[in-house]
Amino acid sequence: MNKMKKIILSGLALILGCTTIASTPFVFAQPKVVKAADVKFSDLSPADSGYNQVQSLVKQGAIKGFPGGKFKPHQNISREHVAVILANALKLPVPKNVSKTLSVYDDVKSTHPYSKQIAAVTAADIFKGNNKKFRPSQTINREQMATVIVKAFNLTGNSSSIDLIDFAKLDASHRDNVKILAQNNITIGKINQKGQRYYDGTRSLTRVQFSIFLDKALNSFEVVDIS
Amino acid sequence: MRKSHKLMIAILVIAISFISSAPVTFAKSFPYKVIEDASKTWKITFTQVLQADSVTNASVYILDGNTKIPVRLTLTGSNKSINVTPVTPYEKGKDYELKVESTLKSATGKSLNQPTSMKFQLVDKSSAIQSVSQSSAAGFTNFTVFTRSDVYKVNINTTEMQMAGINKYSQGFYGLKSGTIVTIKAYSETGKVLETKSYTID
Repeated sequence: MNKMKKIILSGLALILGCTTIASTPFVFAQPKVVKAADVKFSDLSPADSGYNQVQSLVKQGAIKGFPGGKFKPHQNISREHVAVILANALKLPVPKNVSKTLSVYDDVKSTHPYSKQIAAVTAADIFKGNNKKFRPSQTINREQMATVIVKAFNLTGNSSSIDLIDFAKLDASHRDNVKILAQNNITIGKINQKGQRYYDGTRSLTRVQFSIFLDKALNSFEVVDIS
Repeated sequence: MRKSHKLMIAILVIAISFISSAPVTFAKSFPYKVIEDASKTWKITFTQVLQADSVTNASVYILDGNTKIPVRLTLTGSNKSINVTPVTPYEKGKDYELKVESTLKSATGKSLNQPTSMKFQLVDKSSAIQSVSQSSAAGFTNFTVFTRSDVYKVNINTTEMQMAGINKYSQGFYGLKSGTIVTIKAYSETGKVLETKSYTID
């Protein structure tokens, strides 16, 4: 009987001991954060500028990259790709009548591979074209990008002053939008050898640069007006 | 180092750490507005397209004091704006506050960066004292009064209010208790009392 007691008691002690040991690490274990794996592009490594922003846009379904696993970060971005990325990133509704919306352009038909996205950015008043042309494969420069981002996000200016030495040289149709972009901290311009800031409005914009600007704008979600 | 110095430094360090650890709220507020339309629809415009199911009476509402008033919410402008319409008309002289909480989401699932609000009041353009509003912070109560253009001077109790713009007067007081009633009088150029209004501190 005594033996039996001993066996039962030591067994109980063993079970208790084991459960204590076993449960300890679970009690203190931190909940594991499951992160979606990064999408690998053969031409954009984690050390490259814009890597995080591109990954964020990929995870939001805004960017896919090119077939063959390339992102082509330094290729100048075309207007049609800006339209696609914006339509995806902002989840813009596709207008009911795509052909009718596209009738303002004579160079984009409803058979165009990005017709829905181009119609979406047109209906949202982000793009309006020029002389009935959307010019889908033409590249976009930095001052045009300013206007696109300001329109896409309904950005408005504020009273803060901006300091860009080439401000007066910017195209009059984009100047105010560059100012608004700077006032919303989406651009601080580039720095020349004298340490002065400039915007470089007519310079083309690469795919990775556009991704950085867009990611900054996407992280700003606020009320711009109450009327 | 003397003991008293050490003590003082210790108190300072504790005080600074308290100040720096105080919760900081990044609320945004739009300037106070006066309206004449008792059924005014407010249009709130955002930087991004909204997630329709996050537009609810919990994320967008109008307060009358601490009570939400019934409103109708409609998405407009390619889902980038919300129209807020009162179900019943606003009442004159009351302080209303339009509020947008950070539970509101963009179509991309991002929460509003900061809760946003705007106070407003329905005014009667024909009366001499068109609106009275107050804001309080740290024992300081500031009054703002909008008047008709023929008002020459405004007194709050016995104090003459400062001019703060066209037909706008303002005056601050320290230590006014909640529930205190103040009297506001608007005078004409000849010193005639055009209107007297009582106002209770929140």
